[in-house]
Amino acid sequence: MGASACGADAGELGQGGVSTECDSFGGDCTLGGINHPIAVGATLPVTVDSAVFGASAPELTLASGRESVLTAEGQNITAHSEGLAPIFIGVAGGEAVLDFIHVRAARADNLKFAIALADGTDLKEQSTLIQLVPNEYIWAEVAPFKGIAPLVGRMPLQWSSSSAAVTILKTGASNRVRVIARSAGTATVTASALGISATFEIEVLP
Amino acid sequence: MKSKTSLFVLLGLGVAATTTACDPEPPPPDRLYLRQLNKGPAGTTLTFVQDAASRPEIADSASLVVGSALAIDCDEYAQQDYRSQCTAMVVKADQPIVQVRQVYRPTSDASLAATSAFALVGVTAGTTIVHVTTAYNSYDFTVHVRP
Repeated sequence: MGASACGADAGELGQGGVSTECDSFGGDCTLGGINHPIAVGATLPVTVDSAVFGASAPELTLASGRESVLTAEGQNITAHSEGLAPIFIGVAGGEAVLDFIHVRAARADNLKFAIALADGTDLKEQSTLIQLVPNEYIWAEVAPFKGIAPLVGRMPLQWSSSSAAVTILKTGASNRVRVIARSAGTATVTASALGISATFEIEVLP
Repeated sequence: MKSKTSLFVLLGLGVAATTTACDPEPPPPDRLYLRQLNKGPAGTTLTFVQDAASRPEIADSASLVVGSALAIDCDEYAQQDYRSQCTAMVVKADQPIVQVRQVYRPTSDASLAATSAFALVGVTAGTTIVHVTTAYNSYDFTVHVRP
């Protein structure tokens, strides 16, 4: 569980490319690149690469070919509305492009959790009540989906617990938290983003 | 001294004559060669002229969807043997339904100066004529942009 670097995603001209970080859902890099749409309202950080062999590495920039759908700023691609847009990799200071990729944006309609125990064991069956004893903890990560299709991108997330039975700790990764059992009782953990929310239940045993 | 000068002149003429005989100036290119560089999303194609046996490689229409980009490489040919990148290429569309961007195609020496390729980006649905003009040739083709 967690982010790791993906391989390079070659541009369509073979002269450049971008790479992203994997999440627990594999959404960013199932096939090695941005193979799933970016969620509308979310931002995907990417690393830009040049594949021009023999040239001294030029400073590269990103630009969107359809800013009503996607914008590119620095090394971040943000989705604003549903649709398709080319993202151009260019050389700083020049108007010509070195390469490009096509990226889709889609509106999320549900959030899904990936939950793992402290030892890293993934809990595949998220509908089952999770039982902990005080001071035990789990990792919870959430990602946007459209139906069953995973979307990618970092989104403004809010986490909350319905009771003091658990404490939610931020991890530095925007979509991942640590949930620590504090005292006996039950808690509903809620993650909200992009106008939608999802929950899971935790029971803390005495 | 006088004889040495004459010898140099003769040698110089000989070299000049040899160069002219064995390395003639290539004729100016008389046709364009357009080639689709990327596959692109579904609905993005460059359609080739089927019935022009002498120019089978020249495209006469391109199809895009809104938000897709089609990269096209441009070469020029003279007779059968000479091929070069399009020089001083200018690409313009009659209607602003497509956006035109230059594309770097590094040459074998990895120079980033070669811009004999371009990309068309579908902006809005519609049809337009795109004009490709070089120092020697010009070529028009139709671009359809689908919603």
